[in-house]
Amino acid sequence: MFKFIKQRIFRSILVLIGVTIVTFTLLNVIPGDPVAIMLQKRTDEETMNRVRHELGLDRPLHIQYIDFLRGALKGDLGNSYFEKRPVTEMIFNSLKVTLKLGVNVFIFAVIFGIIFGTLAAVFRGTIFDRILMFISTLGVSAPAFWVAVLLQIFFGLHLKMFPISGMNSPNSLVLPTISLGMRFVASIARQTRTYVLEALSQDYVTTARSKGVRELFVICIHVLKNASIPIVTVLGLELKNILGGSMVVESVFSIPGIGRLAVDAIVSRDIPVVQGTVLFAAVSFVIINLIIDILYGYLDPRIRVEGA
Amino acid sequence: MKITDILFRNNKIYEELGIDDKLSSTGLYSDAWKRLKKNKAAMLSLVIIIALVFVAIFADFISPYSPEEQDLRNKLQGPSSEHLLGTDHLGRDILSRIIYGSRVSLSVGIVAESIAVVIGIIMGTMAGFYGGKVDYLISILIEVFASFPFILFAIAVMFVLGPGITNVFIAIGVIGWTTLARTVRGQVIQLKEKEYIEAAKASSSSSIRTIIKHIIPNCLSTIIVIVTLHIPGDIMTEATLSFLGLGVQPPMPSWGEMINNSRKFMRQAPTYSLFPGIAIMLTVLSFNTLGDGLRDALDPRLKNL
Repeated sequence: MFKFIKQRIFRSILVLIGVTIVTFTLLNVIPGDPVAIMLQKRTDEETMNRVRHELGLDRPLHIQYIDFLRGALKGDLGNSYFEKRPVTEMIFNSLKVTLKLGVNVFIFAVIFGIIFGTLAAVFRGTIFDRILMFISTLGVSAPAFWVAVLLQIFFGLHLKMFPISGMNSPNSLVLPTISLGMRFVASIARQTRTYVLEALSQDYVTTARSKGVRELFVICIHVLKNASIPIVTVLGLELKNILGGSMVVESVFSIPGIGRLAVDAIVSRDIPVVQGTVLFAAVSFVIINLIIDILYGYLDPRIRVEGA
Repeated sequence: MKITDILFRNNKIYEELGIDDKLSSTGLYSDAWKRLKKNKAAMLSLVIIIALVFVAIFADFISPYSPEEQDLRNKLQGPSSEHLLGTDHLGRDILSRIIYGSRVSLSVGIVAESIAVVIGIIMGTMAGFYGGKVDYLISILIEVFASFPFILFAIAVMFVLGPGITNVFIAIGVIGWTTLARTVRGQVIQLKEKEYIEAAKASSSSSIRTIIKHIIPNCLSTIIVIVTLHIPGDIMTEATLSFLGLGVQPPMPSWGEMINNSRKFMRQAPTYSLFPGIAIMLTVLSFNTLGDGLRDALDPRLKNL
């Protein structure tokens, strides 16, 4: 187990280095000149040179990269071009909001996804199963931003039940949670159904049933426990998508989270903020992935052996 | 008794038993097609997709109005006999814009996915075939690219490249190859152990030749399934980018851009946002269902993708 963890951590460090290189290259090398993008070529060459010097962008790229990496390790991602505040501070302020939304979405998706998926598996082949699966297929196919707009029109403008933007009232997260969470409920339900069906056909389920264990206990104790391993992986993967999906939903509902920060920074061409949010999102995902893999290795010894 | 007689006799037995699965199997793809034909949902999706392609190609003939023709006196109208799905904030016919918007969505699905397929196959086969350090390096690269939330990465790439449909193709293609590469890698590692690959190697077939003649054709069914399941994601990403104003630029109609415009007129025209969203959902749904059907027909082992 220790060897497995060590190898996995080493690999993650390599991936993290790769992530920093890609982020840095993307936003510093390809466009050629961040200053020109920032000032949108509206100024003369002299001013551009001065700004370039002030920001340290006239140094060789590898030195800039090493500086960027050194800063990032210390938690310093530079300052916003326009707000003049440290990017790290801006990210953490909006992270609180995104996490609040993310936790809501996650809980919403896990509870409904697992319940619906298990029910569909237990009643497989019935009309109930078909309806659930059809709804979940629709749910996976509907774009979150569209659902968000429809919810705003119906529950916000029409029924006036929930606010359609901002974070001012306790109810303000209801519509964002549903619009972002719907597709995750759907995909978790589909996956859960598959794994529960698989677990239901195992010998230990037959044994438990033949021992006279009540069906509810069979499902809750034997089936769900064994189906939980693949479900944990799915949840981990979805976590990344929730973070990605929050970008758009936050924009629609004017929620000041990471997604909104990134989109706003892109519109205002604030490169350090764009770079910081992209890096932050990728790094969090690598770490989440690492934790899941270790958890997975712990739950299922076969993976440890394969990985080692 | 000759073997053909046995086969023939079996066929007869099957006929008597009323089983139409004769032993005259003709190969993986025709078998898969037979299985797919039995899947009603997948066949319906296939019909919808073919219809959609038809609509996109013949948009000029089908569409009742020009997608860019403005009629400011009749803006934000609800559905009527003149404008079946109503008009937008510039008085343009929503149905016509949805019809033309299918061109954007489908071309993103095809072009962007083709870019991703080429990169994915090259990376996946190289990693799986050469193994060792090459594999380790490519696997790390796959992990690096897979670490970025797809949409955020796409937005960042669009930021660098600037808006426009060509850049949407590039952004989605350059990011979207990781799943394919990972799966192809896994398949190649399995295939490498097969006798016919060893035979090819033993008869001094070059690596490239072995890969092209023996490895890729054997991964093809997996590739088809993954591509079909990826296209809806690409279409969704384009819609999201255009929704955020970073994708296709006006006046070119895109479903995502239409929903974005509709937001400003929620009060006046609540049905405006409804139809482009249905178009996205129907398209994505059809590709997803067809992909699921293809997966079951071609390679049930891919269930967990």
